[in-house]
Amino acid sequence: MVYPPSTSLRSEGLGRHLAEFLYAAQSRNDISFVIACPSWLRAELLRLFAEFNIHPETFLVISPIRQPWVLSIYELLYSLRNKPTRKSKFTCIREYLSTIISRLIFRISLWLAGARNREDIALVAVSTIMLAVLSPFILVTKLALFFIQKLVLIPRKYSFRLIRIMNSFRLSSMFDILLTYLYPLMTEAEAVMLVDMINDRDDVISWYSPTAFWPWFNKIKAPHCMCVPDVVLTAFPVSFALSGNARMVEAFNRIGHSIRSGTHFITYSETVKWNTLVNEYQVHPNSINVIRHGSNCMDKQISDGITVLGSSISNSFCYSLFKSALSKSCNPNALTGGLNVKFKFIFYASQIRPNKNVLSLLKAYEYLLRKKNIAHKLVLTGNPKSISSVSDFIMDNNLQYDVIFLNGISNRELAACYRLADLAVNPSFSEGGCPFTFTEALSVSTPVVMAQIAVTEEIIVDSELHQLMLFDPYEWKDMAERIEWALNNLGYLLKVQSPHYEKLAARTWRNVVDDHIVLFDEIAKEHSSKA
Amino acid sequence: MWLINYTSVHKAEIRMLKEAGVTEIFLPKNYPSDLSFRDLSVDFSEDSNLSIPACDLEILNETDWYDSPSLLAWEVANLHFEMLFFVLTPSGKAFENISHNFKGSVILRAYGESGLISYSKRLKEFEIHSSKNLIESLGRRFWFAQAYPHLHQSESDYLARRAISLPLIFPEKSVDYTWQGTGKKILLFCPDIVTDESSAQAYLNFTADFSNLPYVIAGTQSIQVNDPSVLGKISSDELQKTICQIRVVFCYESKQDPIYHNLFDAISLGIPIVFMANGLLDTLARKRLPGSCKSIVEARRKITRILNDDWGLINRIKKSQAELINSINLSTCVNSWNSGLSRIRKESNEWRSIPFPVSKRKKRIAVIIPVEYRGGSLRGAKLLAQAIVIGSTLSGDAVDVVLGYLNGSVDDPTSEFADLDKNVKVRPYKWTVLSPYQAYQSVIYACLDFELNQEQYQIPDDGMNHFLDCDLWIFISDRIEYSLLPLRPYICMIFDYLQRYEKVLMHQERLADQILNTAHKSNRVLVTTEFTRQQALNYAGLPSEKVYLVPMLAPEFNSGASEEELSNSDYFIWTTNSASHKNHVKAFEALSIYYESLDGKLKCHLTGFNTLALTKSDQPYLKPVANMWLSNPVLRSRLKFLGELPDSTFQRKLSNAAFLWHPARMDNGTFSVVEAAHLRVPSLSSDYPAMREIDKQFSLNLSWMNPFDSNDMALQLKKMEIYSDSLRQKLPSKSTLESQSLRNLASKYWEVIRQCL
Repeated sequence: MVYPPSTSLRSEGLGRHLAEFLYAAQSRNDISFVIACPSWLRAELLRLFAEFNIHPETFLVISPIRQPWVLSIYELLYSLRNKPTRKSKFTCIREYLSTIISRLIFRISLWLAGARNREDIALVAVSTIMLAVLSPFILVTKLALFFIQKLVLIPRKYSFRLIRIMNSFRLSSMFDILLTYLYPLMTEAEAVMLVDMINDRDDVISWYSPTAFWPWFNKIKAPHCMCVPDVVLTAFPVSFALSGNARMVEAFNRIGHSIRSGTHFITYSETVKWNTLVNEYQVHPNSINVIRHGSNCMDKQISDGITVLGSSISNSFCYSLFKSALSKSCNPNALTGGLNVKFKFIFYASQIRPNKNVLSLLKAYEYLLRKKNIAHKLVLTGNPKSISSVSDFIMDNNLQYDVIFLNGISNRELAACYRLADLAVNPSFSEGGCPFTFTEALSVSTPVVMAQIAVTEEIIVDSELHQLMLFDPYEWKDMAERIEWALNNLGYLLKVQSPHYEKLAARTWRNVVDDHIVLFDEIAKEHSSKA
Repeated sequence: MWLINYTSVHKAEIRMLKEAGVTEIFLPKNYPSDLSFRDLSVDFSEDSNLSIPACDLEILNETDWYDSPSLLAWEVANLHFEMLFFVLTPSGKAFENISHNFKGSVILRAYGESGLISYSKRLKEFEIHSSKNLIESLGRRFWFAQAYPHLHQSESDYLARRAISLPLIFPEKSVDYTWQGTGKKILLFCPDIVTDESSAQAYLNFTADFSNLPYVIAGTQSIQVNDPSVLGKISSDELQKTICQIRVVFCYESKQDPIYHNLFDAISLGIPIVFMANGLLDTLARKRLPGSCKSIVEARRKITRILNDDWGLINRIKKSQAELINSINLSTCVNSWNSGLSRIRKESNEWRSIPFPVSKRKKRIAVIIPVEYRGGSLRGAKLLAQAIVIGSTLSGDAVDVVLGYLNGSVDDPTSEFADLDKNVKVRPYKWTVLSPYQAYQSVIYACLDFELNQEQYQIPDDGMNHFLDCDLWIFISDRIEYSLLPLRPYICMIFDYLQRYEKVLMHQERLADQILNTAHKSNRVLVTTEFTRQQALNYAGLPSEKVYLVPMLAPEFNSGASEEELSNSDYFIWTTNSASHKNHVKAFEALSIYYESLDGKLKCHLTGFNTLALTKSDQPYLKPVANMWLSNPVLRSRLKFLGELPDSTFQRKLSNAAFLWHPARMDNGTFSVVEAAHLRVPSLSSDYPAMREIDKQFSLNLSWMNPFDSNDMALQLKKMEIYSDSLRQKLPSKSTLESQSLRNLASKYWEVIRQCL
């Protein structure tokens, strides 16, 4: 796993998926697992283990022993930069100077950590010379302008204009360009070190990568297999381009490179296998295995341990967890003290990303609230500011007191949200496998309505259930009608969905792990026969 | 299928195919008479080796494989052949057709054509939605068969990945030494100097680099060059004789340039070649030859020595050239061809045998109204959406249709779109403008590959996924302000080119340019009149194969009075809006004459969008109307402004009218005349092409007037007043009108649209 620094494994679906996998894997006494990760991921991995009750001793974790010292400096600078204090102008100037020097040291350090060819060295050298030449000039000019302004030698409005011109020529923009280039180098330096550590071992029969972000993975000499959950950017190109992350192009190209240089693949669905890997990347289908998710049962997160289902779940415990979750609302003003936590709500656990179709859900909700007079709030996970059209819609439609976004909630809090919601909804346009929403919600006896997308239709094959719970995600009115019907028929929907849930719940994460092990064995055999 | 007619490579490569075990080869019998196709010939010799039925061979032989072969021809090709070799043609049409239709191995034979930077770049320039996608959709059936081992190095990843070496072959020849070199001149092979930009540049460079030295230029010239040293078209025997007399050949070459076969012919005759280093000759020789030069100065020095009888250098160069001939002769290349063709067969067959799952997803087509159209254009969009649903259903390929309209452009969407089929979903949208970098990112993420050279791009934003859930976009008109980011193939439905006749785009040069660009970059353009088709070809300059004439679609109206019923109405209807081409001034003048000079009896009821304030408008072209209105009390007493009426009210009003008046100057015509005919009301229309075509298609028997002559307009109004009852008898019957119903015409639309899916 070569997730970048500051990744929170616990807050994303992939992390939960990984945790479920590891939790189940620890029950296989006949197999040992090795996790190879960068130095910076060790601590996060341990936190994930703790939250999901995974015994750290079960897994041998290998990684470079110490975190790169440049990363430590970066973290220190980051914490300094984000310190919320009001400073005097003198302090600002002093800090500005010290930041420049520190950043310079940091960039050079980054280069030391990652540089490996002449172009990198040349770029850093030229940049350093440029900074050395330009810094005094800019600083002197800024200081001069500052004093000129203080002495009122030129009218204030002109001096402001001059300062604005100088500000547009800030060093930070040059730093950003360098950061874009150097940051991946540091990651690569770590990854290369990790691959060397992996290649030094001969006791591992097969290696597995849970995502396709890391082309270095294919440099592992032992048999290896890469999971491609999905390549969502290809389906939502404009929305992701508008999201403004310039580094995404590089990440996207890395995925393409990883897939094209890979040998064995796992997907969660036939849809991703055929539509993405075969049709878009021309991967031969024989080298792709579909291993479906296990069921994500949330009941164990909120049960008091006496029994497994139903009665063992204490609603008062859930409410206390829910209260705690509400304290993580992105709009705390909407939830002032004394809020009745026992309100009715519809729940969507998700990230706020273009493929998650949050805007259509908001349109459907607004229609149900204002035209159909439902009493429910809408509770979502994620930060609405991730997509401006989402936050704009909420403000433009005065929904800030009815739509609640919870950011960074724990797994238990998530389970409580599912449990207390009247209805779970998932309007996502695109996923790698059937959304976890179905098993997560039904595991705590909350019915679900979901978008009719190919990965869901692979799992929800019963035509009656199909009719009852699926809607066209491109038609918000269809979504609204389905939600309205479900709210009016909660008991019936739950009754119809429960047997299907029981069937799906029979596929445990232990089954998922077993499927993987069988595949890894096959790959290892194939590898040894070729050798 | 060897769809390549190059004479120079033909025999050797066919022979090589046979050496590699290919026993039956089809050779095309038609090729384009285009300047860009040089050195082509037809060969029937392989027909006798084909075991396919004679009738099938006849179909194949009659087909122009460089253009658009029929579906029948493709059926035959797919039945009998497993591999298809082709070269890129200037339009890319052959490539598009082959990619869509051939089911076996699709092999792009790459010789590195003259002046070409790379094949990827040429593919990008084609007016095809995305060549990259088209190639990737072929999976491992596609091959980039390079004649020189380095060609893939300058290609994009999607081509380079599919590169396979089938080296250039030269007929088995050893160097003979018939060359004497008595004429102290330099020979340069440089065909088509006038018509080929890279040849022209080579010619100019050569005459500058080797000024004062005698030279001869060989190579076929499509247009004669005003230089006595250019040989022009000569027979191969004559060329051979010339080469034997010339002292030295010079050759410019880079990694991208081809080696002309002539050059190898010359080498085989024993003439020394002086050439620029690091090109193909060096690559083929795999070492630096004595004729190789790193600079023009060096080349000039060597050539001068050769011209000055330095036989030591001449003999060294001649001797070294034997290796060049060896590098491309049949026995050297046979192994590469054998292994290459085996790999093509194996991987392609494996790919073809994959049981691809059948997609359950219905195709989805977006019909997008790009500006805030009301009235006829909005109605046209709805009709097109309906036609697609009906046409696709009738053909058994039912699709979903999404009708996109601009946010806020329709007052009450629910009632406006209530009459649409349930398979037509309605979706509001807004335009989003993208910076070049955002556009670039979008193209990268969408795995597409096309040129981006505009400052801004725009894309319809439905708040979900920018209509990317749809497989095809159809825009109702070409009025798109910035360059459209074409992440999907798109069709433009163009009703007219009003800007050619009216000052509707004055001082909006960028928009005027953009409108034409939008159509040029589309996959198809649909027009509903022959007149507009002619404008598309002659004004917009669109290629004829892109423009499709489809029948006009008229809404389905309820029939009104019976055919025998006579009118006793005291008014006629004038449907219009406030646009300048509606000819208000002449119409008002005509009305004045009609009432004041011709004692007109019928009142005029004026309806349409934005017409209530017609006489109070600030528009300069409406000022005379306001003046006439104020100064003419008769007009004020006889003219009644009804404004924009709901359809039902309008139809009631129209059905009671004596006739309908359409005095516009020029546009795509009005369907109000069809509606009037349904309601048994005759019409008087301005005489212009679109209305003539409506009259013909619907057999309306319209009455005509000259829209530029107010006297004639008034006179015709008077005639209508007198003869409207008899004209009513000439209106088309109900069955005639029904023959032009949406259901009967929808298939014509679907035939064109399905080609883009």
